[in-house]
Amino acid sequence: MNEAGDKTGHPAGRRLVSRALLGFLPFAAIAIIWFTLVHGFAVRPVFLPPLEDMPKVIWVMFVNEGIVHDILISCVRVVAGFIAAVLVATPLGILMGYNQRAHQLFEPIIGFIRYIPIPVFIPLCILWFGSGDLEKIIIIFLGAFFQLTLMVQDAAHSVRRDFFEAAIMLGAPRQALIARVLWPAALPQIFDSYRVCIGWAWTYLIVAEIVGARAGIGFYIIKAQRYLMVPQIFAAMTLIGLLGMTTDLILGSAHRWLFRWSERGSDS
Amino acid sequence: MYETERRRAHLQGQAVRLRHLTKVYAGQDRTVTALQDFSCDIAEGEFAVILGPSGCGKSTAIRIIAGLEKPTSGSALVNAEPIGEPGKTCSMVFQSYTSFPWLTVLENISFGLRYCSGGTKQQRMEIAREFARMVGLEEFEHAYINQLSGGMKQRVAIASALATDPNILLMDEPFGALDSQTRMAMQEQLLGLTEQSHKTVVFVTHDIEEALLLGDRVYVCTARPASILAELDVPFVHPRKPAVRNEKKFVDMKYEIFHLLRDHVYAQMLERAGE
Repeated sequence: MNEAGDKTGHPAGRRLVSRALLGFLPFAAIAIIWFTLVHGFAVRPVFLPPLEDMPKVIWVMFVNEGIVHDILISCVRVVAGFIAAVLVATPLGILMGYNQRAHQLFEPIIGFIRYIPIPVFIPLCILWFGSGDLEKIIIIFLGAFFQLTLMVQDAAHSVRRDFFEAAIMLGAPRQALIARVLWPAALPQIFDSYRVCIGWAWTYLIVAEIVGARAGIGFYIIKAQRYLMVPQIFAAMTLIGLLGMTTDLILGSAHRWLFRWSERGSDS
Repeated sequence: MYETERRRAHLQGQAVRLRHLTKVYAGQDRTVTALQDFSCDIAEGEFAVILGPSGCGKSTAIRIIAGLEKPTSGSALVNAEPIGEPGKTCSMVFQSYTSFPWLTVLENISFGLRYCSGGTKQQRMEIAREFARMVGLEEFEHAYINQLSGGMKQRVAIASALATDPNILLMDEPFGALDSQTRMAMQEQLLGLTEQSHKTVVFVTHDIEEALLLGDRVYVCTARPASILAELDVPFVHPRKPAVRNEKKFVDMKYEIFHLLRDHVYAQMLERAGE
């Protein structure tokens, strides 16, 4: 679809506004249901706090409860675990996608481990690494690494074989094929897997922080639950959603900007 | 006249010499013989066309010349030497669009240059620009491949292949995926390019007219397993114009090949279908 307008002839600006409005509708629907439940059906605040109190709750979170500190700690853990997973999974996945033997060597073990639910590792990791940042980062790493490796492998494997032959016929030596053909050809799809993967990283962060933590957004939620501070739970959930959405938006625009050459990059 | 024995090899060097090539693909539940007793000689500077029905195994022959595949038996020589690593003496244009979409037109054309000619990036880009001009893409130097039409993509592929200055240019149905108008324009452009460069070209196609328009010599293949059914010299002088299609000799040859293919190949195909 071209950027200037769609079939109905709407200019690009109006299309963007209508898209944003459409995306906003479900949020509005949830707000209306929430409002109706509280005021129409008199649901008790301990189950569902009034929606109109939420801005104040969030204000207090930032000003009096130091949530910024928790956010920063959580972000550092997510980014560290995610980067560790990317650094190991990318070369391994590429190797597995390119080389039949590497695939045969690693595929079974990864297929085995990735079916073990990650929370099962938490007690062990606490036992081995304590309940500090390292343990959280390792849990995030484990949660992201195995899936990411398989996704990178898939991306590497789906590079068209005739690109390799074309490069060889242009004189490229075999040892240059990964850097000159496979990597640039698979990069958009690999980048997409990073995007999916950072979503898991957030999930496993919260899982790890809910079990044995002294700071972080997950810890904040557990603390709020302990004292039955229901509004704070809702507020923290909203925050996590916003953080994830922001990350995804940034990576999405980075994708479009980096891979203008790819068909998918040019028609979205 | 099909059995014409041309002793051109004595006058010019022999670029490609294939003798009794056989290629068998052993699959899990069946084996496919792509080539059987496939022999031909291609002289230096000649535009040789391998013409045969779709799926007959003619692509296998060109892939063996390229070094991308090894024959099961028989001998294959390029420039009087056994075929070594692919990409050293031959360049290839594939039917599928194989120009790299992550590179611009210029970057694609200069891709092979770093491996064959060295030089600075600046010099390589200069050469690439020259070849982009040669195929008429000077206005699209910085475009990405996915922004181009099919014909333009193949022009990039041809320019990339020629830029490395190969001994032999291999073309595996390069215009097979193009619409017929674009194909005609491309044939004309290719004629012009090869008439200037005097390169040895091995061109695979199933299109009789294309074979006669472009080729100096046409090797007609049987259905799978492919072997050479006939060898024809194409007498039209260079520089050749597309209007050669209307000459009586052209039309006669076209029907000659058509009847040949019908008698041998289609009969064989029908026989097989009846099995």
